[in-house]
Amino acid sequence: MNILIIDDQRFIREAMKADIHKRFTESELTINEACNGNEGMALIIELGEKLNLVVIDLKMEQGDGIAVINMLASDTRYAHIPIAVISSSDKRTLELVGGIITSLRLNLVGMFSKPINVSDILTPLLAANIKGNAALELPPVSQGMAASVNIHQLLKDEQLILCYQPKIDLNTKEIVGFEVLSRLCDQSNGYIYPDVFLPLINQYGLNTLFSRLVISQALQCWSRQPLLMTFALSINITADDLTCDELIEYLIQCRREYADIHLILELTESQEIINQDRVLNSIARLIINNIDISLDDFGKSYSTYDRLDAIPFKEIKIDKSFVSDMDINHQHYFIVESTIALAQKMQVKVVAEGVETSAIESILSDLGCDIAQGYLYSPPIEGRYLIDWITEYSAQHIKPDYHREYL
Amino acid sequence: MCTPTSYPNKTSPQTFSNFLKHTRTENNLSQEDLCGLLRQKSYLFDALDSITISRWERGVNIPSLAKQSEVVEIFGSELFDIYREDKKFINEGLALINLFESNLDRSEHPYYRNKPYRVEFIDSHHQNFMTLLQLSLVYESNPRLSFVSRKLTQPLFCGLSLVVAFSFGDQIVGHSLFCRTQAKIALEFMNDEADLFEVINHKSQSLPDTLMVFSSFGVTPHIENYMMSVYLNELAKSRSLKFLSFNICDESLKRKLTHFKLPIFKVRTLDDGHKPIKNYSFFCSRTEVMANRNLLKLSVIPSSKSQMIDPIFFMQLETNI
Repeated sequence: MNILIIDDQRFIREAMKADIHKRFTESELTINEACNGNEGMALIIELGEKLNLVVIDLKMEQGDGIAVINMLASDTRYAHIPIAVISSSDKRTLELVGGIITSLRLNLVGMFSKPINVSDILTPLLAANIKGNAALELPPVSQGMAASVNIHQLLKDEQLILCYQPKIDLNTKEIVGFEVLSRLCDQSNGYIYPDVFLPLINQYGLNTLFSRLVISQALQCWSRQPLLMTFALSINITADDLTCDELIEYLIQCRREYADIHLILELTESQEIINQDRVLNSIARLIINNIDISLDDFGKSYSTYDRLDAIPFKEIKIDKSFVSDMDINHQHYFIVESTIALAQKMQVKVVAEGVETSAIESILSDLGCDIAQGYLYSPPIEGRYLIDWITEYSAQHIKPDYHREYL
Repeated sequence: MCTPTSYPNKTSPQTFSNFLKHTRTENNLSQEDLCGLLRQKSYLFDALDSITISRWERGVNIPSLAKQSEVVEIFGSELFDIYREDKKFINEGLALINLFESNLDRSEHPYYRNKPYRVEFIDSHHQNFMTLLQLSLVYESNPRLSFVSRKLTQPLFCGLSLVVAFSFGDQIVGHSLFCRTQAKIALEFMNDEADLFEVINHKSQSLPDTLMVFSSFGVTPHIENYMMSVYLNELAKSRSLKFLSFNICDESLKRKLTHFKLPIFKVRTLDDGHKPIKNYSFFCSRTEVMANRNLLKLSVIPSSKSQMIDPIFFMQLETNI
């Protein structure tokens, strides 16, 4: 067992050493020490792959713990070395750093608050050694999956199925519209979800073709049913799509052809693209042509306020990661609360995504949120079940004379 | 844009082809008529032509299971209804629980050596229900199932289905634990706003629409598959069950479900007092389950309340089904 302890406080190093020695015999153990990050990094370079565990403190002068972590991530030879982070920072900071380490694909044993109980670190470490290296055991599912998806063939074969998730008015409980969610289907795996296929579509530059397929299929679905035409149809679009003039032309043409359908485009994508003049120009054209623009995933990317200022959005959607646990997560509650307040001041409709329980629904109602979307009302619904779902929902939630003309 | 086609190597086209031919003759339709009907019924078939129908019927190519279900449901059936009638497909399902057919290594388990095992549905009124429930969950590190150690009376568990696999000497080699409930309560449970007993004893007036699984385990991959097939079959048989959901802490089951390409709906971290434990939720629609080839295969394996299974010579299909 070859262990490196990087901590600027000597008594912490001594205490840990003493505890570790109790678990091993002298001959099977080597403990190295570093009193700051820079010294630690030098030792990592010297000892390299021989290390069986690196214990890292976060706050240190002359090279903090994050610097050590970044250094470990810079060379694949270090990726397998088990890391234990010890710190007196608060829980949220530990969670943040834990998330960073996981996303760097390093072999994290765990995040430990001081005071440290050495067996908390050694027990999972030794268990992982018996099972084989846990971090290397399975490739991330989406990556393995991506390799087996032939995106060209699936699109060529029109293996696209759209699902629709209802958006509900929190005051009246009426259905106001549906968001289109796409799935690809192949023979063996059933549904393939956007988190897997969207990166591939972008990688092959198929995104505008794909958006066009989705728009055309969704409009087909809507135009066939008079009942559906009474609800807004929200389609996701990326800022990248908006750099394609042909797609903008197509959208405007669709809007004219299906004049009775209330079309909303939900816009996601990174800040860099959205501020291009070209994108702003496209958005202006869409708005002039009566297509509403909604700002999707609000709060998720870092400077959404800029966009809110530059573009006259009709609606903002609060990302589900903030909404679904806002009853127990105070930070998330504050984010949702202030987003709703901001939307109200700017007179923009606000939609909360990820509503799963009545408890969340009533908190959102109290905060004055306009519209809710989530599994509480329904998971995404295949097109063929839409009318049945609307009929059933309306019978349960809406006063009898509503929609009578259609049902 | 061309018409829907698919991947002949990955699925036997026979079931769907036969269904189409049979339905068409039964309803006195020409291939053109059928094409017109599908185009009228579903916008997904706007671009369909009768040449494609002919190719489907001849098995030259067939659409994905998800698209097949669009067609099949137009005629009032479900994928499960047509695939459970197909012996060849059921045999593919049986291969997943049968060592003889598969390439998987034999069991390395310390006390189980691929001997025949007995599967029993244990009713909550069964005299050994509590004991078997505790034994089944003894290695389950799920704090949400910790009721087992509390002193609770049997009637509380009414509605909970426990299925146990026993090897020779009544050693437990597999189990599954599930119940029928309402989607709304299942979601509250996943968000820790309802406890297990609210899920089991949902007082709602309406029919249960969700099958919720809490635990599913087998000492070998074959027994594991069989234990899954039990509740998949139950889901498939009841059309009123619209959703399949899992709420589990077992990492190996989570790996299996993600390997089957089911998307994780939610991950929560539970604090068990001494160490944090990941709690995974899955929530899938009936169509998502049926369009998944592996799950469909498992769902057509017939199960009964009490059954002997020999993993080496399981069921000669000709005689048993």
